[in-house]
Amino acid sequence: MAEKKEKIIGIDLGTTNSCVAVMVGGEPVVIQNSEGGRTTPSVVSFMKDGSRVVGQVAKRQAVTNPEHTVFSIKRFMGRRADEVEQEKKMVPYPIVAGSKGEAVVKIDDKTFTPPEISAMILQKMKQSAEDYLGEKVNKAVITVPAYFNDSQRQATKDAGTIAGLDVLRIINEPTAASLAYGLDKKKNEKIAVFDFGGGTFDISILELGEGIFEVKSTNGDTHLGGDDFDIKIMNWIADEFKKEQGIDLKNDRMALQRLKEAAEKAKCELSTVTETEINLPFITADATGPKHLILKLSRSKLEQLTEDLIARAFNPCQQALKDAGLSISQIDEVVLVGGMTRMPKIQETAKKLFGKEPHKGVNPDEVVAVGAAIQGGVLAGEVKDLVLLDVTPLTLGIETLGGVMTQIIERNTTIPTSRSQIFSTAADGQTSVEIHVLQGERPMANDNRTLGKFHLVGIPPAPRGIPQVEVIFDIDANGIIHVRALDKGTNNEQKITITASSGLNKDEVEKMKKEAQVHEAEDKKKKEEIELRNQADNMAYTAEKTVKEAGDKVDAGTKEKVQKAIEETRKELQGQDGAKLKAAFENLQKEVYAMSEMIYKQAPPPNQASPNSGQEQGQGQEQGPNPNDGKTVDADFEEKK
Amino acid sequence: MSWDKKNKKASEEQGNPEAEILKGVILEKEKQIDEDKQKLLRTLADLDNYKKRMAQEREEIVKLSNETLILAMLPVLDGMERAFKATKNNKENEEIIKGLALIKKQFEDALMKFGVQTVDATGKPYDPHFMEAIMQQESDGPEHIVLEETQKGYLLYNKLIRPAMVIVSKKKGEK
Repeated sequence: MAEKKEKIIGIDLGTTNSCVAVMVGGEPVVIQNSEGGRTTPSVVSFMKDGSRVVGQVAKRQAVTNPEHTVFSIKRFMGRRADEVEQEKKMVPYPIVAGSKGEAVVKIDDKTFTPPEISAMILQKMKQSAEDYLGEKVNKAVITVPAYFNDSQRQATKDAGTIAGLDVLRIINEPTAASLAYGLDKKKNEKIAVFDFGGGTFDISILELGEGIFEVKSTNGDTHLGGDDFDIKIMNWIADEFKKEQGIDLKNDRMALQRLKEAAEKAKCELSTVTETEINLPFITADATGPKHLILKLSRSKLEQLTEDLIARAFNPCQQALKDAGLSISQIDEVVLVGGMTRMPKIQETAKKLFGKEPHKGVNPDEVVAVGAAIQGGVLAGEVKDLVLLDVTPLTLGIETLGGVMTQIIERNTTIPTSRSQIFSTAADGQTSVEIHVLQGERPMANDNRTLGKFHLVGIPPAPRGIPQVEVIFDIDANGIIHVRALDKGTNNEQKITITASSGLNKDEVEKMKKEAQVHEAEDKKKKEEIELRNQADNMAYTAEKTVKEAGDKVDAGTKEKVQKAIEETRKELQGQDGAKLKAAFENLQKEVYAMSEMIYKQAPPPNQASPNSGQEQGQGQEQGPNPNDGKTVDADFEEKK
Repeated sequence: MSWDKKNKKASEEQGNPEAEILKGVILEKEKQIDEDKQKLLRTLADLDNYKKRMAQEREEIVKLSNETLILAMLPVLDGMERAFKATKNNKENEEIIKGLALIKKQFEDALMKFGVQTVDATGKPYDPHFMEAIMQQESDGPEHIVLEETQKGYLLYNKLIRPAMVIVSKKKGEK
């Protein structure tokens, strides 16, 4: 990659929370703040000692310092003092008119403009990004609501400048969210962005044409958000407790604090489960002793409690559609933003209002910042700079004992790459193995595609499982596959080269993947059967050898029992009845264990050739654990003598 | 080398066009090799850095997963704290209460082993970096002092995982 590009961060400067993200290696990353939070409360506080705190810490001390703790500053950005009479009443800090009639915050005898306060939040976001990236950050993309007017946008830009950031772009929050979901790659679509956050609800209708997003209409409710839901739950808990115990928890600040936490927790939990328990032991006490609170809250009850809040989203959505001059059927995409859209009922509502399955991410409260970071990445030219590495579309492997395909290189492995595995022979004295190179996802060799075949000859005669044949697969950057088989004993080698995936096109690859899914269950069964056959065959072979070599370490009775079990297993191996074979095999296993134990007591353990090894026409795996042998070590003790 | 020299000389003298072309080709290839080598080195460095970052992230994930688990366990400890507060003057079942106190201690010791510490708050000046103020109370003493902890705060390897919930003093008559 070329010389280092300067990073451009993306900031979602929110009413209640802010979030920062940046592109790293072509992927957007949400950056944690110094307290470990992925979002930062948009709160600034001026402390008595003259210092200033921002974020979670400022929020924590709000009750001790209400007149010096500034939150929801976004509501005053770029507004005149006479425009914000309503908003003014809702905050505990004083708002006055500045020299040009603009709304400013009064802290003791000083005044701060909203851009100055916002700059303090932006500075913290910038600092977090610098700590994460380990370099100075000078450039940013900042988001604003689609309904922000020029003066509000200018104020946001000013805030960036004060914070020492060169604001390259101010983009609309719904546009950023659409970018985060990759909708800019589509053509001529109409997108509804449904943003239900902590303190505000916004609906925006966008039209996308030639990669440019145009805002068709916006609507919303500036005082509707997740906090309202928490309050509903809190009130319900307190009312229920009063009904049961006759004590009003609303007068008890300490209990109220716990109720608030419990309400928020219950709300979050009910997004994934349908019922939760609110369990607050020792919530309060009266003359009769301590009182506990234990309540069950179901998802449907929560939905009933908050029905009126959710209903407040209806009108703005319908109005936005009307203003855009569109009907429900003309909306192509619905995008969900904001923490509250995790609630199933709200997802359902959005779906109903716009008639489309909405796009929803894992972290709806981060999508705006992610979109801003993507925009930053495009501006920095980082997105173009990626080197695309290819992957193998299908799994490659070879055929082993019983017609099973043993995987060597799994699909989706990034190339160039090289893998190898060691195999062995299936029969005593076998001098050649066939390497049957396969491509596909099915467990059985026959169901996959043959890429090529070759033989490795001249293996010195040896008992099965002893020769070591290394099979090496190598795919170069052009997708050409080289397969080599190497006899480790003689260094004899054979190889084959298969060019460019043998012309499988995309459709064929998809077809093969689908087939693998369709046949998954039956294939698994077939494979298990063959594995059982292999294990049984191996066990019979090993048992026979052990009996032969055991001499007088094992008494005749035991030997006879084992011999009988071997014959039984061999008989079933000829037949097709899986269940009978399994029974015979398990019996043989039992007898062999009994015999092994007898030998163990007197001498070093006998060889148990690995059960996976060997194949009629070729080779079997030699490495790997020995599933039907818990006790004996896989030592070639007797052969090596 | 000698062949090279001779060849070069010959080509210069005679202005052998084929040799000139080959020279150009070689220079071109050398440049290509150099570029590829740089690219390879960069890629290797990228991979190395990626591995380091992954190792670091894995370490953080282990720590974080502990944090999530510990945070989920803390309410159990809170409950026990509250239970003991409520049994303070209870003289019945004294031995059972003592036993339960020992169980609580076991739990605390186990948490401590994994790097958990409590935030020391009561009687200390209020510090929002470690404490969340839930209310203020008038007091004769100095202001901005923690009068009471309603819920303990915890650190994990010196990083705050849950602030202490506290009541903070204020001067009498202050609103």
